[in-house]
Amino acid sequence: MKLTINGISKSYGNNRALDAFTAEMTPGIYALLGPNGAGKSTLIHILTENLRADAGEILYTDEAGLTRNILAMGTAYREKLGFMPQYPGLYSHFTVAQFMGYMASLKGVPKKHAKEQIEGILQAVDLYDVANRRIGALSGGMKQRLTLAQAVLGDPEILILDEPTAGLDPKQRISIRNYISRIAFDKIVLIATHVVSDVEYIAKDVILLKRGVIVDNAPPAALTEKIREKVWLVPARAEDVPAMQEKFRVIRITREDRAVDAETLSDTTLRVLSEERPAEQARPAVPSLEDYYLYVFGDAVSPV
Amino acid sequence: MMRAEIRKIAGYRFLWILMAVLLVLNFLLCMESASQPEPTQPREQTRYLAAVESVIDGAYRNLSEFTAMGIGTDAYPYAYQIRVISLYEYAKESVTMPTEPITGWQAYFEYDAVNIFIFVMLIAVSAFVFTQEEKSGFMAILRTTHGGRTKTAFAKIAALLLMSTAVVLIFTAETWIIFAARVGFSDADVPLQALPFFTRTPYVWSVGEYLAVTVIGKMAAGMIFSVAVAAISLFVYNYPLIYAGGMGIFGANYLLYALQYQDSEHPLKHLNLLALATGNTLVQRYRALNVFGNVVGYIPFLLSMILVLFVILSGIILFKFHGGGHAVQIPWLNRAAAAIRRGIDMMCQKSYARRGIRIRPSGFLGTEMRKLLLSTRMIWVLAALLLLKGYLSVQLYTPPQSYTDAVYREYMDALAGPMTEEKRQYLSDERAQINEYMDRASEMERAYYAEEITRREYTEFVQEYNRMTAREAVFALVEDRADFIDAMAAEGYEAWFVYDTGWKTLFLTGFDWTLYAAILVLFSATFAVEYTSQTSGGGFAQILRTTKHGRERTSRSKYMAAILLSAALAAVWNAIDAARIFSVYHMPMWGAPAASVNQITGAGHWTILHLLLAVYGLRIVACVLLALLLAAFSCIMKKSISAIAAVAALTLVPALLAGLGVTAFFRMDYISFMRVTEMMLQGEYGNYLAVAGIACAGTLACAERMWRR
Ligand SMILES: Nc1ncnc2c1ncn2[C@@H]1O[C@H](COP(=O)(O)OP(=O)(O)O)[C@@H](O)[C@H]1O
Ligand SMILES: [Mg+2]
Repeated sequence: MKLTINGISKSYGNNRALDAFTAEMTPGIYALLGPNGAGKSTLIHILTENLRADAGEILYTDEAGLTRNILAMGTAYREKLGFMPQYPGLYSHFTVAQFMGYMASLKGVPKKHAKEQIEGILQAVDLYDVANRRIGALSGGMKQRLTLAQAVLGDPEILILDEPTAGLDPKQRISIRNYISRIAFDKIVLIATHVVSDVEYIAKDVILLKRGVIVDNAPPAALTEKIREKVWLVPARAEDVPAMQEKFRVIRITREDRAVDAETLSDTTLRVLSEERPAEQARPAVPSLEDYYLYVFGDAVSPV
Repeated sequence: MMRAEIRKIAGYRFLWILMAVLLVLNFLLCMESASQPEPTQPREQTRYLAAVESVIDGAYRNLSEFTAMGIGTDAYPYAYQIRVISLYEYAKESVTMPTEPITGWQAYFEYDAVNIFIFVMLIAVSAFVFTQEEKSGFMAILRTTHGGRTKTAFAKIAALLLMSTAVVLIFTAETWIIFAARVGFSDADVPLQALPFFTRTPYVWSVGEYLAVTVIGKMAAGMIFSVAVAAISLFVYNYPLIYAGGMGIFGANYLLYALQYQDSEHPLKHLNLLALATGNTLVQRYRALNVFGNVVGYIPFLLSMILVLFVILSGIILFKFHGGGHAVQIPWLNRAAAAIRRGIDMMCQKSYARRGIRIRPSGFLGTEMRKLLLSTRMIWVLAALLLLKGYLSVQLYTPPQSYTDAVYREYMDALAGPMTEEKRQYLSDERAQINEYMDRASEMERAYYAEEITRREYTEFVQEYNRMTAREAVFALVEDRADFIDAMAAEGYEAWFVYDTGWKTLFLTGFDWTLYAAILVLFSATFAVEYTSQTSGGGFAQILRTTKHGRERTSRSKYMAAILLSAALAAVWNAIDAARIFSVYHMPMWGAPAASVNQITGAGHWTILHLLLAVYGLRIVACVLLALLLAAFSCIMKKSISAIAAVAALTLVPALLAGLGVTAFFRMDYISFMRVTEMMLQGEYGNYLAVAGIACAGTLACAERMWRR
């Protein structure tokens, strides 16, 4: 099973939202990482056939090695999809259970499996207890999880999630992340997000998207490898921080309760991106994916 | 900030489309009204003076009467007459009649239909001003901004006033330009009294000044109306309900303005928004109210009422907008709703406790119906329309109580059935008897004056004679039927004597606008429900369309739901009428040929029952087509309100044009199509059905393509 995206482009008027996007996906989790407006949702809408691309094609190759254009496949392609949009509208007068039942019908889940599957999923996303509540009466986080629940219903081969953790608290984020990675092993999962920690440890490949253009497409380890020896921890005094921010790209500022270094009276540790050692006392740090994200997109962060 | 508010409103394409449609309608009506450019010759000065003097004399006469009756000089009636005298004395001195004929102005001032378009447009504009943020979920943000609420509310009110002024000016200007182009205006600097309608006005204005006055009147009426609709919108937050509220206010004012009164001097006929917007009746002559003994003219009274109302409504808006809260809170209703919800929850909880959660894969058709009825809350609007329908039906179809109908029924019951020789005999006997009786009139009169019969005998005769004249009129109708039956027989068709008052009512019922409205609001949501969402994101459609059955099967179920529900609605609505008609009228002889019913011609060999089935069947078909068209448009336009606008334009505009006499549209008139009978009997039904069917199929194919790709 393979999904091949070939030179997909899409413009809104003069605004080129996606420019010759090309990628190949096999089972595993792919992270589509980029700031707001990068074109993530646009790509996803094209992948889910909610939007037509201006140019390019998307091909699906099945187990038997037969390759077809997804537009030609129609229902045969869509029945393999699970989709969680960024801004869903749900039927607020349906109860959670009714809604999931309706989704099961829509997805053609056989009747005898539907109940069992829905119960399992609702338990996994922690919505079982509110199954008889009207959707309109759910909290934002609950709706978010329900949207995920309908996406994974029917055990789709291709799971497409647009900002799946937006609006969740840290505990829910982690439990959703774990849930996704648990069910992902035999599926193609594409997660669009601007939150690096959502995908850092679970993604097989990270596709960095900047204004519609792919900047990078590689496993997380390969990406962090690129900035080895470029991330530093620099002790500094609080009053020197602005000067440092002028000179270097500061990723994180950690303030300690007491001086960390008796000699220089430093009470602050700066995480700095720099090609060269930024100061004598600086120590190299193990680069993370977030460092790389900021390396590509970000400028300095403001003091905490 | 006000600029921002106006920009927000101007961003709604729907409003521009509506405005364009209304401007076109106004254009057509103007062209119609401005077609008789006959110049009016003003009265001669002496005749004008005579008219004014008669008013003044009348007032003096009243004064002397009041004195005789002992009414004090400071009492209202007295003060009123004094005011009248001083106003008309002034007019008498100031007005000089022109000698040139006057063109254009009279027709322009008489054209009041423009107000309808202005008010409709204002409803649409005002409905948006305060609700758009709530609809888009932006309200929550707006409320928290610094000074956001009060400042925004003021800006919104200001924007509303400005926009309503703009609407008034645009429509007035259009009307004025069309009249200028088609009729042409003569000199505006002549006294208003020169126009026949305004001879008795006490105001010393030139025609041009009165034009300015009417524009100001329209603006004042428009502003207060806009603010009232906006105030409603803050309480209901639901476009159909806001529109209904706006139409309600407008309708009430229109009725006050247009209804025939027993007493044409009834204050409410002049003190309403439509009268203010038109102006004519307010200035036609001097009218005043007794306000705590003071004489207050209608015009200052109306303007101060409007000011007071404006302050009150603005206050309500500010309070409501500031205080927030969603829909109106009615404590007992809330409690009742909460109790019901608790009950349902408890039932659900119980079944939950017993069987775990209930999960049933749901049927597509059922789900679609449910979405239509429940997710849009349209079931409430539907219920309201149904109540209204019942009420109208009861009002409209009352038992026939006239003497003539009773006589007619008596004859028709006696003759009931096909023509026979015996009946022919009966008819000629009856005719002879009536004639004989009528002929005796002069003889009896002679005998009475010759004192051959007593006064009593003569009075009895006259009473009987009067009854006979009434009978004769009805009998003439019966004879017409007999002639018609013979004529039909000559052509090889059959017709019977049938008491047809009820049948005629049944077949020729008017346009059922409550049904039309019900279909419009309900089915415009067919696809639009999938696109609405609290945040701007395209709603559920994006999920729906990526599922296995989300496209073909779902759209099929949606159309199926539209067909079934609209057929059911049409059936229920027509059943209400039918039930009412059957219960108040005597409806004999189902099996009689349809031609037996007066005015029903061209039905061939059908019986009444056949015709009945055909008419009801086709009425249902017409509703189903309308529903399908709406469903298709709601798929194409993704918004209920746009779909409603499009379909209303497609169905009502041709009907309006046909109503205005544009013959090309007689065959395209959806209103007749929905009423069925006349169009069917004229043999035009097939044509329209074909046109409507093709249009519907085309739109459907287009919608289907959009939904599937
Ligand atoms: N419906 C639309 N009409 C016009 N421009 C759009 C539309 N949707 C997205 N865009 C533009 O396309 C670009 C990419 O948007 P999007 O795909 O939503 O980004 P992301 O999901 O990465 O935040 C943005 O510049 C956005 O403004
Ligand atoms: Mg996005």
